[in-house]
Amino acid sequence: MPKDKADLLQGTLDMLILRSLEAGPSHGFGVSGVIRRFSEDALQVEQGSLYPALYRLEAEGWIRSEWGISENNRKAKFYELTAAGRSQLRRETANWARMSSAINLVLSHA
Amino acid sequence: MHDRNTASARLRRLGRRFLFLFRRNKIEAEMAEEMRLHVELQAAEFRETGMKADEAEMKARREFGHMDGIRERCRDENGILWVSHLGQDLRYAWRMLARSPGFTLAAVLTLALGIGVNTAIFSLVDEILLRPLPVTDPGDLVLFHWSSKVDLPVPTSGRWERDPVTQQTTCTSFSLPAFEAIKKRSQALSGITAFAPISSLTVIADGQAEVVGLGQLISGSYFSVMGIAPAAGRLLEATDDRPGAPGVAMVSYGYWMRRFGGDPSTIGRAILVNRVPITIVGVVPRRFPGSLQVGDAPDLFLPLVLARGLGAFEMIDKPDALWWVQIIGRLGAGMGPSQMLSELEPAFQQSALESLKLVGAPPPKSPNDLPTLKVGPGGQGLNELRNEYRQRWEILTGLGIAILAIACANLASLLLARGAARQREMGVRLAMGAGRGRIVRQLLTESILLAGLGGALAVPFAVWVEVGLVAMQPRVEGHTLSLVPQLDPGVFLSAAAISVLTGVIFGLVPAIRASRVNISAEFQGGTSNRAGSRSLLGKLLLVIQVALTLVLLVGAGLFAGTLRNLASVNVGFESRGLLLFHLNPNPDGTSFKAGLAVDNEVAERLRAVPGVASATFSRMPLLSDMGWNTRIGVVGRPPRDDGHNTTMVNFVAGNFFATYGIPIMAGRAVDMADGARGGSVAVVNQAFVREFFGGEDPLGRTLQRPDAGNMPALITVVGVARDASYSAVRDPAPPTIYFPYYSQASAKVEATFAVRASGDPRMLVPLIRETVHSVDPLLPLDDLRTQQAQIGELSATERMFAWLSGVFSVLAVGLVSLGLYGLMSYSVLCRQGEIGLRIALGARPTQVIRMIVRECLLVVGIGVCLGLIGAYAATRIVSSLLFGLSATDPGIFAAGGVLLLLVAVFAGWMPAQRAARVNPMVALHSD
Repeated sequence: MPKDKADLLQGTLDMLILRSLEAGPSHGFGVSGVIRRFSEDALQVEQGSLYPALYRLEAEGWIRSEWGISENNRKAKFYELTAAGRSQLRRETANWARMSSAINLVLSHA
Repeated sequence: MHDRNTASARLRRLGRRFLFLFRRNKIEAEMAEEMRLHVELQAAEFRETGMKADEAEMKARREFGHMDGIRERCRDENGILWVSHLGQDLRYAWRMLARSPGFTLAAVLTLALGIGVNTAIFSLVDEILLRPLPVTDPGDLVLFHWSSKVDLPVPTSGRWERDPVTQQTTCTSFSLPAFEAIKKRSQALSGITAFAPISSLTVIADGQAEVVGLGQLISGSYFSVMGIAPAAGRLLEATDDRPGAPGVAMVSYGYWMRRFGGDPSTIGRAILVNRVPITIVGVVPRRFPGSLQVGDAPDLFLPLVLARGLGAFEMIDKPDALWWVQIIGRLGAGMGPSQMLSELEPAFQQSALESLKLVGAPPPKSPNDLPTLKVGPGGQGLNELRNEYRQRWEILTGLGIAILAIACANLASLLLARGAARQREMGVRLAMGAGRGRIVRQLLTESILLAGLGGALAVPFAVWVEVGLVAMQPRVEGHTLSLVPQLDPGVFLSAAAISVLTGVIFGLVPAIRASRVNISAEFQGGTSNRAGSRSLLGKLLLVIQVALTLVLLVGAGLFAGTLRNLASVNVGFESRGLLLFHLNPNPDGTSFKAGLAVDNEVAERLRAVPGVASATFSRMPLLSDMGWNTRIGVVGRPPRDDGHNTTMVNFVAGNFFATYGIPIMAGRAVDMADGARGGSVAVVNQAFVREFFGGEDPLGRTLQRPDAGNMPALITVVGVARDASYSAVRDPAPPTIYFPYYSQASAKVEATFAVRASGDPRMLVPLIRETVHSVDPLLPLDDLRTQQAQIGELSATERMFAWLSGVFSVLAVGLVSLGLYGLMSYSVLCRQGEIGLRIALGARPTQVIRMIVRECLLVVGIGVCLGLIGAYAATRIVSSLLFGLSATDPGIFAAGGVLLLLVAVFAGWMPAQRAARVNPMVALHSD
């Protein structure tokens, strides 16, 4: 179990980032955009959480980075999911599904 | 969710951190670039929704947030933070240490003590026992020696030893013909050289005369075998070691500095050594001390061929029969030592037989009785003394290790106590969001800073201790060590590493504990139960310290007792008020009569000096570790069947017995007039009468000397003197014969003068110098000292150990007291609730005090028991140094134990008082 609230949110954010990179490599701005679009504007990731998370995920080896050219012709750091990252995403998604259904069960209990 | 703490994940993180450490600047630039881009893209998006350019920019930037803060958190994930925090940690650590100056001072001093003392001791041990000569490949050097089952009746100069188990005699001295024979056949050796010490050289340079204590005679190949280059000038070579070659010499670096001030014009300067004209041709490199006994550093190196001219031989005829040179060879590639020995041994044994023939001794009965040739490692020069020093330095090493152990234990308990006291601080920091890793790191930094301060202080402390140790040189057989105090960096680092490790471990233990603390429990509860295991560790450390302290105390007591016993020995003569000095009027061994006349003249003039009660001279000073013995027999009595047919010998001038205060019990003293009367006479002492005459009256009886050589073989006893110590205070007075001075066959008129002062002996010093100068301005006066100082030097080792163990035990007792005080204070703090309860239930203050003091006594008691066992085992090592008491003297053991128990009582007293004054209401509520 996560140790405290911060841990919970951190884990969820990591999962979201990995998912958004599953679609294809992107830079930080792009990732936050994907999350916003996929959640239909419900989730807006703060840069203060996004970039540390990206660096952390890279440190763990679940994504890797490469410098490329962005859409407005500037140097940008692109992130890409690694094989380990893919399996990590699968694991976390499964966990999340289990947890959320359990929570739903509790909440919907009379 | 996902577990970030698997081992592989941790390792990966660690790896990245190290990587990022090196690419810091690049990473920083990239990070900044990345975030700038994000802002730009965001601003572009805003512009698309219709916002104006600069407004879009501002909004984008605002929305991004505080870039520096974000960057810092990113860095944290990357581990760069680790480096930038180091500076912060150090500053914070410094502040924390400064806030508790008592603890800091105690910890730093403890570290300095442990590291410093050990560095000093081990550096010296390395220098004396372990370090090889600074020559090329010292491992290839071999030192020759021979070993024999029977005593070889050849005149030998140098050391020989008898193995107590095998009864074999071993000796490193060879005759010159033996050296020549070995040299001819040494195929396996790439070089072979002979050398010998020569002492008390009179050097006259620039009109100034002085005595150089030690020189070394070397054969021509010496420096090529050693493989060293000169510091200045040139080396002595084979061409210098030929008969008729001009006299040359090399000086030691130290002598070059001392005497000539390092003047380059010293090369080529002409001097007189023992009246032989010598030209100085070179300076030996600074760190090369010759290859003599450990600590002996000759100041002059002279060719072997000059030996006779310099007066090195006591016997002026048949120098070929004298076994006096040491031989070192350098192994070449190929043949091993044993093969080489089997080649050389026949030649050596042949020369041994020839030696025996020369002195007229019968050849040994069987070939098995011939001496056998052996080699040993020669990389350290002569090593007989080194082996004797070994025991002393092992004891010193033991002391050093004990101190280090005590220091580490003390440091550990200091850190534990401090950690315990900062529990609350840790709790607060954790609650405010500091990472556990950060806290651990910061405490680690504190420990390392502490270790750094301690180590820095240890360096000057180590220098001081080392200089002190060298000044209190332990003497073995009259040799003083001439050492250059130097700290070995390897030793320093190991001692420092041990201490730092201790600091880190014991600084970390509370840190790790603290970082796992349950924050809320910390704020609610008191400090009660957690204290359990911590205080047990603290007690264990104290027990160790107490045990080691007791060992030190017992050692100090034993050495102090030995010193006292040595000082109270009756030496048989009046040692107070006596000044001694040494004269060598004919150092080259010529004109014995002229030399004797000089000595007599000096003695006469001294007697006329006001303040001088009497003056005399003798060949041997008393109680100076020097000795001369000879075989003796009594005409008309059978030789002793225990084989002890030797007696000590001295040659004395007139007024000898009066000056030294040795009463003549029967007959008369010998004096200079005995020379004129012809025949030969002697005075014996009471021990001689007991052992050789069985108590019969010796006056008028005749003694017979088998090894007389040039001296008269028959001697008449004319007097009996009271027993006086000869060369050692520890030994009872040995049988001694006092001959008149003139009757020695030695060519040299070496004499130790003794002057009895009617007042303070030190007032006479300038007068004595004047008197000698007035007889011969170029006669140097050597080794002026008082008899008391001379005797004192004999017990230098015991004094050093007494001083060291005394100082160390005082320090250790101090540390133990502090530790006990701290432990008891903490214990009282922890048990406040319990104490409050007891008082509330009616316990009287004295009962509370007794409870605390009992706890203290228990800890110390266990330590004392362990210490007694340890001391019992440890003191066996020093038993050979003790005098007048046994290594397990119960009085000293008991005194040490009682002292520590008293310390326990006093250390526990104040905390106990505090405990008794606990207000039960406050105590019970604070729990």
